[in-house]
Amino acid sequence: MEVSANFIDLTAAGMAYLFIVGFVGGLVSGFIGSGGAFVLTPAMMSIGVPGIVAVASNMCHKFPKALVGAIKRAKYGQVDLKLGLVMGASAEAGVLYGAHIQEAIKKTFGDAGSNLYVSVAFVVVLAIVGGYVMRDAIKIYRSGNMHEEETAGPLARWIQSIHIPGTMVYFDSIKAKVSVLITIPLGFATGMLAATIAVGGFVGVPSMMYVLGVPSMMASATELVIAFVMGVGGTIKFAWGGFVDIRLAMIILAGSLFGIQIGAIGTTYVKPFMIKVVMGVIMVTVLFSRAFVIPVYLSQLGLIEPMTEATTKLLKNISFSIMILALIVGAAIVLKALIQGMREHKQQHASIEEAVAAD
Amino acid sequence: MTNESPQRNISPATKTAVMGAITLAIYVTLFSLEGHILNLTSQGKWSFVIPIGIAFTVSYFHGAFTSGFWDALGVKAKK
Repeated sequence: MEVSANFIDLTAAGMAYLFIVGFVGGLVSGFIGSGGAFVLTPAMMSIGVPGIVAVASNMCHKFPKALVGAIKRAKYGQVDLKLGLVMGASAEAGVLYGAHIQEAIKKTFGDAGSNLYVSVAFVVVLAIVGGYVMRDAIKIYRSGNMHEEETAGPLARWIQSIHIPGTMVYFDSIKAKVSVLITIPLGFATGMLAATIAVGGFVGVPSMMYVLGVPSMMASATELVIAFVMGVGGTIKFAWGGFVDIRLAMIILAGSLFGIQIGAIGTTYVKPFMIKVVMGVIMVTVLFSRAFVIPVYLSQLGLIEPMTEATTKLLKNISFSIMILALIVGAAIVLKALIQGMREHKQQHASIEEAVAAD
Repeated sequence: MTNESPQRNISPATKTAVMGAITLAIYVTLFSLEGHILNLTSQGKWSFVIPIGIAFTVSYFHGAFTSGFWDALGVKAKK
């Protein structure tokens, strides 16, 4: 049967490639709540999928993946459902507004302008937020306080002290009331980022941790609820236009559901600061990836000297490779932490059994 | 207890195998009828419910399968 030109012929190699990228992406998302999806859109485009179909299919795999991850982590008591839904609702508005801005930029400045906007947003947000998360993780590691329970920082304590009548909502994760007038802009920014760079969690998770004072384990799990809400809305938007390639979405989902289970299980074995380590490492690495393609778009817009085709291709390949590297490094840290945690747990178990047997 | 529901007697391994078989059947159907399914899912407008329905269905069966799969391999959450 003849299908739309938007949809490519899938080869076995292409399917295997998407399955593996989906698996690694799922692993990272299960652990830090998001962060696995940013590489999927360029990964699909690299095998010839048109941009809008890649974005739509990515979105369509994201919400069922987030749902499975959220249910899994809710079983471990890590999800604040109310916070996830409240932030998810405003994130949905952010997605729509972010998509509107994207369309306006594309209309005015073309594809190169749109790509430049996305890359600059990547670099600026990841430099500020990723740098902060990374700095915090290093600070905790150096202080040797990795085992201590996380406490709300000064900003979160101040936010929790603000009382705006009629807007206060109690959240289990922070055991305090916070005004929805504060959660709304945080959710909105998460949605805007999701519409721009495909990973709202790079703002969502740090904002829950540092602005609201949600423990990192709960923030990363709650992000899965936000991702689910945003994913459903985004999928409806793209599927309404007929852009979802259900085969691509389901192949990635097949891999990512294997990965998200391991990522979620991994959170039960690690210290909470590991969430910050993985998130910080991925964000900072991706930042370099996008920095490499900015000159390409500047050149296409005529803002700097034109580049040869070979240079453009080289920079794009470097950028894509660093992006893949970011995901692999993040997944490797998660796997190492999981294997180490399981081994230590088994040893502890064995010594307890030995002690009981000796008695 | 004698009045336990029959469902409780299903072993986790059997449940995982059943979920895996259903998942496989969904994927085989999806790819053997890919032309028809792509046409159905890409019509736009209210047909958006089809890809969303497929995604929910796959997540239910495949989610249960992958969970049981890692469990069977000993990759379990810390208690």
